[in-house]
Amino acid sequence: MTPPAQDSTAGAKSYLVAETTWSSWLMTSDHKRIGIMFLAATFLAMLLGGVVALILRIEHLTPHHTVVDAMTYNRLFTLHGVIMVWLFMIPAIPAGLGNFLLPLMLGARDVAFPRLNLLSFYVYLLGAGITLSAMLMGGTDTGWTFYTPYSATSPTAVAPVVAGVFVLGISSIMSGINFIVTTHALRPRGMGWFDMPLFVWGIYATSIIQVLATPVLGLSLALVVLDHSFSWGIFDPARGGDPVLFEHLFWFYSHPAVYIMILPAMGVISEVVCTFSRKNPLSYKAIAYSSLGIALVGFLTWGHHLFVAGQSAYASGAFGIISELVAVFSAIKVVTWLGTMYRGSIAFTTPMAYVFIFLFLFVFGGMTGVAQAAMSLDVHWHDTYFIVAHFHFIMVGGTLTGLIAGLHYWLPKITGRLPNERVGLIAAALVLMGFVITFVPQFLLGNAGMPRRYYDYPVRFQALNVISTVGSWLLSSGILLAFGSLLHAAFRGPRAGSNPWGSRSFEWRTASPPITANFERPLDLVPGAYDYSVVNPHD
Amino acid sequence: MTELFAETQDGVALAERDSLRRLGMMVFLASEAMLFAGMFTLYAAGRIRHPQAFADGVDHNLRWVGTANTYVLLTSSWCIAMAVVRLRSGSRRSALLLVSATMLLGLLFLGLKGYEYQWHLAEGDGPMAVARHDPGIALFMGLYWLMTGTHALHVIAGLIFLGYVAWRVAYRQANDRLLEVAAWYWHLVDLIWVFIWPLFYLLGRVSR
Amino acid sequence: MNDTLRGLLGLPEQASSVARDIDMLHLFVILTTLLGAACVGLVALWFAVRFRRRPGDQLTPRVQANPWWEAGLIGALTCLFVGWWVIGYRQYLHLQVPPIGAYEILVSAKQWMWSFAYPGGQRSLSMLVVPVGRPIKLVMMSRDVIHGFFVPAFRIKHDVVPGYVSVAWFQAEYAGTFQILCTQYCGTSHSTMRGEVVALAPADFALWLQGSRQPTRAAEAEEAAERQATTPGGDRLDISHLAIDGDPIDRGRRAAARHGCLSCHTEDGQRHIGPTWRGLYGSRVELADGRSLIADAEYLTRCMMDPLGNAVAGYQTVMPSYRGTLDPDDAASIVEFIKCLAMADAPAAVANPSLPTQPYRVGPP
Repeated sequence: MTPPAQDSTAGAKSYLVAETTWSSWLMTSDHKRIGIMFLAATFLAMLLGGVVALILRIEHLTPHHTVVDAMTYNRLFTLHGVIMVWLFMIPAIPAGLGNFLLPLMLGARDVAFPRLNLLSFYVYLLGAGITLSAMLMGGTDTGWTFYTPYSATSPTAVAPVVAGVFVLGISSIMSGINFIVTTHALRPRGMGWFDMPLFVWGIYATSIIQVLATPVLGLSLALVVLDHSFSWGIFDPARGGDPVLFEHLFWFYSHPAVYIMILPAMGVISEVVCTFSRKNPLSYKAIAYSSLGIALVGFLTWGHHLFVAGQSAYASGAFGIISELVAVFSAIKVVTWLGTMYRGSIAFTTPMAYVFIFLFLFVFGGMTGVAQAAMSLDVHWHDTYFIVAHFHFIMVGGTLTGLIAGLHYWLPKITGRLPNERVGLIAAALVLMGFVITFVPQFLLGNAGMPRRYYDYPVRFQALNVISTVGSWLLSSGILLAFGSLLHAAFRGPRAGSNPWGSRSFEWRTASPPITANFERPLDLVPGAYDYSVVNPHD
Repeated sequence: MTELFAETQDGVALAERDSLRRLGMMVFLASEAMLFAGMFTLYAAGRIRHPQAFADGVDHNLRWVGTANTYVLLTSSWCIAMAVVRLRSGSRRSALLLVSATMLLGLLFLGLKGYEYQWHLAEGDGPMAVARHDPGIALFMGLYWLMTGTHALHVIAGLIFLGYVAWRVAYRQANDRLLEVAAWYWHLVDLIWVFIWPLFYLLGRVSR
Repeated sequence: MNDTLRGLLGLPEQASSVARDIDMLHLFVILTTLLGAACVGLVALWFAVRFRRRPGDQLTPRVQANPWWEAGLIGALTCLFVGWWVIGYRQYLHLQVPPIGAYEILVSAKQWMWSFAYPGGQRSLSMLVVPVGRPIKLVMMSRDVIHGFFVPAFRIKHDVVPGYVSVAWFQAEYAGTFQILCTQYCGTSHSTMRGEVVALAPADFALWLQGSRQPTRAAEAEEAAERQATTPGGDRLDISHLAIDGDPIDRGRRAAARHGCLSCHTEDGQRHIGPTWRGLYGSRVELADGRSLIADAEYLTRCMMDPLGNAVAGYQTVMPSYRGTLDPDDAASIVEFIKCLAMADAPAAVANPSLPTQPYRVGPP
């Protein structure tokens, strides 16, 4: 294995080789190494969650028993949700790429609290460990949403799973605090809020949500354990409790949580679009403000998960219209990204290919969200495969493509090596094709009335299920190819210079990979992070 | 806390460690406030649903303990605030005395709380008994244990934090900023108790 | 056209009064969505070609969005989205509020089956038999965890939450069988907790209610054809399975006695600990919390489950909740009994000799 690239300037070694002992990694306070460790851990989580998904889809090849029994299936879909949401989606881009890039984009040496950063990684590992141990105990079958009173009565390992997620939430809050303070306080003189790269805005908005919403998740989970293991009956109607109250508490966190999952990916898209169009964003402020808008207004929409739960019509109406409004922010971003390409100089590289995939899938998936907020439609779609397709369009079609785009884009910065374009584009094509074949049938299944979390389904739904399963094989091969190619390139790809893409963003104004202290000379803020109308003296 | 405070490469330490700490503590406290806000919301929902039971519920607790604890915490907040003032004006010794007073009062709070908890257990009204109560009362007592328990854990964490800060002030010449963020944390814990007190000890039967 | 699009989207038949309108909104929204996504995709691809990087291409012009365009776009999108919400919300409200005079059926959800109880005391397991062309109001309760009552062909869905009385309604437009599916995960057999709505022509429904005919297989085929009890697709309906169990009024009185209702509610008009049942059904009641409403089957059922929340003004709030102890069949029979006590020819009441001749005074002791 050839050693990773060394810094080209005299003397200083890159962060990858500066120290190579185990403890220099495991006890590091270097945000770059912590970022890589998060990427590695979340990648493993993604693989595990993906394998579970493949099993679920294989089970759906036939309407009745195929490979597992009902209870196993129910535990598996719960495991899939828990792993994908809390072990993968929520930490991957913020704690992975965000950790790596934030200080670099701000010209800083590290994040505000480097040791808290390391602690957040170990808390993540602890939470992941507890959750996976719970899996070995058989896990639980409540779904990742843990609705009461079923979660209080299910004869499964509810408490350990919930405990694991609780600990993961603590890690999330730690990351959030770190990034907020970093953004506020570690910008150099001369870099105002509107001079920062847009990815920072994405992470910043995400961090606000993490810090304010996750405590309520912690509370909800604690209450589930109290109900389940100590029979407190907080949500037990026979004891004067209200099951719908749990739904309110849970979704108060979990709706903003989906914005935790998408905002960082949107940040990646902003960066990739500008770099590979060699162009300033059509409206920097539109993207920046819409990130904040999504974060803040996203806190007001949770009741759209309760349209058929017995919530008052008045409340439902309010949540419905606010949900329509929050979509406007995303629409603004999409138009701004498109407009950024106008009169640009577009290079169709792998990251850019993923941007196109993102644009198409996210618009479609997002619009189905707008459709659901037209409430009578949600009455039909709620808890069917339509909803499953909707959120997979956003999570896989949005977040995962954003992650893969970001990994390809920043691979040179992280490892000093270039990704393989040809394999990357082939993988992107496989991902797009596989995705469409997997999830478009699920919209149709939902329309036809197939509910979600169904082990057994009416025979008339079989054809679409089979198509979806075949799609899942294509999709997973595309994802494996993409990540495989990235891993290969990380160790054996051609060496990159400090700025192989010719980007103006600040992280490219230092070596690829950077030295441990990130910058050898103070970051020069001229030209700006998106100024492609002037020559870049730094290349 | 790490000594690695970030500098920009133009040689000026623009990000002062202190402003990082203040901002970090503010964000953390916002997070904590959301945690307790969720619990207070639960209480509110419970009270609306079971007005009679929640009113009767205050009789399950020792009002004198709750009231004494309120005075104890309020005094301790005064102590820590004065400690910051003293440290700022240079009197390290009196600041440390005041921090010690704060910690002693915190311990007194925990002692009184522990006494009350033990009294609950003796009355058969402990956390395990929640399941046996009637509807309404079960929710009230469950919330009581949840909220006062979570609060007590935060008091314990606060005491550890104050102890650490006191050590730093005494032996590492820490400045008033570190003590200030500890004081902020302590004030939030106190403030939360000030809301717990009426809800669980004072708001008895409302006349028809 | 409607059917083609419906087929393309995979939507089920439009068997209820609301389905067509909801599907119209669905089409409007989905077609716009497809158009929007296609436009975005096509524009992106066009830009990728038109503005592709050429050799030597190094600098680009700085283009800033025109604020008027931005505002216009935001405004237009907001109007579109809110417009959809307006239409959808009106339809949603229509779905939430049952029409007055709807035929009420009690639905009980438990792991893992649906059971139905009719005003006349009829019971049914998994099969909800209803008349065509009449609004049906479902008064739903769960015995254990949250379930979801979903009939795709009707476009209706409502969670059945324990501790709540959940109400949904529909009107079947033609005869047929329409699947009921549970949509809220409720345990191991969640996916097999299914049922069927059997919509019959009114005459057939009346016959079913009477239970006077238990058609044999042969007779069934003949009668089915005769009464046109078929779906548009020509499927046969099987209504041969139900038993009717005794005089509902008698059942109701026995159930009321068994559950202790008659200790507090009289049949003869005398005021006692609770309101008298004579003349109660269909009358206007003033509740302790200030609301005023008509005492119908839904209200009476809510009283049994949550008496404190539905107490009548001027009475002590001492009625216990029957949630979990009163099954829907008994509840339905009691409602039927109360209903008959409101009729002009109500059976003679059995006076309760232990009651004082003066009405109780309500107030502080």
